[in-house]
Amino acid sequence: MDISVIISKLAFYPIAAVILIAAILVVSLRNVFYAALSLILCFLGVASLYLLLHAEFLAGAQVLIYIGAISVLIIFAIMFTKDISHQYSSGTLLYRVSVGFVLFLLFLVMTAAYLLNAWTHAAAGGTGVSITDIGKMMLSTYLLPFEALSVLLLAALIGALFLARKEER
Amino acid sequence: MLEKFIPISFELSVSVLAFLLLLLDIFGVRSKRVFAAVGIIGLILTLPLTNHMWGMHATLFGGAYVLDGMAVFFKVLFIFITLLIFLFSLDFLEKKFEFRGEYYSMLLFVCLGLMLAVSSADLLTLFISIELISLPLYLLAAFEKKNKASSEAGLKYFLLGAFASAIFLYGISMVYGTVGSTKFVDIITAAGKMNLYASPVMLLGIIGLLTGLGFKISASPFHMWSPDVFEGAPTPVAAFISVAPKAAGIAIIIRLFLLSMAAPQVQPVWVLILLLLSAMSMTIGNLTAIPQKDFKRMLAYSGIAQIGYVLLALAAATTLGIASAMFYMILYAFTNLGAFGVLMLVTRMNGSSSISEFAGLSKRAPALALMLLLSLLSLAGIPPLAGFVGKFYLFLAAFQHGGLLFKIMVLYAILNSVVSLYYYLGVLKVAYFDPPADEGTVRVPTSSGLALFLCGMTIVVLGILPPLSTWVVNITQSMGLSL
Repeated sequence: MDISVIISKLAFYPIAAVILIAAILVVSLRNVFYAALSLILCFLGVASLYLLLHAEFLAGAQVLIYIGAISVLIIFAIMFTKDISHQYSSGTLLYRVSVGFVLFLLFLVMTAAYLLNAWTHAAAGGTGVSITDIGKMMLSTYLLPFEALSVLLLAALIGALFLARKEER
Repeated sequence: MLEKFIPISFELSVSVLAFLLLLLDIFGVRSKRVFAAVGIIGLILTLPLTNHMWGMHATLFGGAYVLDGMAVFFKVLFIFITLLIFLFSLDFLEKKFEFRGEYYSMLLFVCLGLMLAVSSADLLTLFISIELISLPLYLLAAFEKKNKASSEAGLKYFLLGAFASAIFLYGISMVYGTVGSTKFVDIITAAGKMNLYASPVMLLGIIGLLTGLGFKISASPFHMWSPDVFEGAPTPVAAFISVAPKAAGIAIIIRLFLLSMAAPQVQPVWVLILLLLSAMSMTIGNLTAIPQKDFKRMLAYSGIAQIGYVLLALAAATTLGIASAMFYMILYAFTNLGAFGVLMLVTRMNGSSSISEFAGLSKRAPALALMLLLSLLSLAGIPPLAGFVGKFYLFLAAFQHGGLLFKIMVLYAILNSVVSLYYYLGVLKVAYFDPPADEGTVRVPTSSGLALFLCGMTIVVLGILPPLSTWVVNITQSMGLSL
């Protein structure tokens, strides 16, 4: 077996463990600020997985957008909000147990389905998609969703400005 | 050169119009009437484009976009819906300071998303167009910034909508993992060879997709948001939300499931889910509508029930099923907009939407009371009106499917229609027999009056001209049921 394949196989499990632990911390930590920091760790793990899959561009985008922009925004929002450390009750014990039970069943079903599934594999041995390919695809095959996305972003931008604007009168 | 753009000319003109309205704002146009007028004229000018597109069957952008009879049909319907909302908004906005040019641009962005969604033949394009429908609608629901209920409606719609979109996207990823492509053409081929026992993830993918779509068309059990959002959102926006995303959702279900996953290997799965959604929507919609005191909430629950009837016909997965669903979406749109329009004019002054506002409407504004009568009786499915013809075809499509389960479901749906008559008639009783609380007549402005007249005419004409519904069947058959 190729040495790089062995390395990526070896690297997968620690990274997956980090992602899982970070994700559990995000939902279980009582301090919202720490939860946001765990979210960054989780995103970092996902970015490393992209690297293992030879999707360098995706890994870079993940770091830039999710860690650089979104997480920082979340942290800003936390710091600007008063009383954020307020403890919210998450329902009665019966409610929590039943929700946990349903989610556990869902987890079992999905795990079983994922293990049994005949997945369609991308062409084996590929070294991933280069940025050039992505750029070409965005302006050919995926031109329509790309353009629709820019209209969507514009609409979101205008809407956000509208909601945040102070009425002058 | 220009011929190349004909298949996407509706989308191009609507986006140009949306940007034009934004530019008008920048160049200092302050009159809201100018925005509405430009929008209305622009939308009417796009209608002749239908001439060039009718009968066309084009596939663009590497199979991501399809223009066929069904797409054109729904696009024209969306233009009419947007036109009516523009006409209603013209009067509604007069008293509202915070509504300006961007309100109309947002409506047009939604219209663009709707048009793209019914033409999408690729899951990625479909997802983005659904987002393009939803995002401006979240904002529009929260547009009345001074009104707490409106902000709450926007926030609720946004949070639940984002959740539904995530599930939809998860469903897409599972279908992609099993099929190996996001294009509907490839899904058709893969579905024909699929063995669901070996690909259980496809099953989960279908459930995810239908959960996301079920939310957008507010089918039960994914309907929780709709009564609260309708109640809080500005009335023209609530009217828009009550018809446009539902019509688009039905079109998407037709293209994604009835046309792309028609192979017997996967068909039973989504037929069963559609039947389940249909039964739950009819039951919960009709039973919860009965005790409602608020007209908008009642219409929300009635809309849930109506979607239940349409899903029943779609579950039959036949040409007649598709045709009847398409026909029903026209009359549902005009009927529901008519009911919302009456509410908007009656309660424009105090902003309440309680059913008791209609008290003595037959004396205060006989024309509005007549319009309310027409739309509610049509929703209930009373014979000379469009609602009867529409429901007749929906139930016929399900009945002709032949299975015993479908026959029982049709009986159940008829029973539900009878139940629904109770709450529709309850509103009419208030409008016709209760003494008016306020003696003043209700002023009907020209534009809203024109819109209501259009709705009323459609309800009556579609009802007394049954050939029109056979016309829709013919269109559907001429589509050849292909992508």
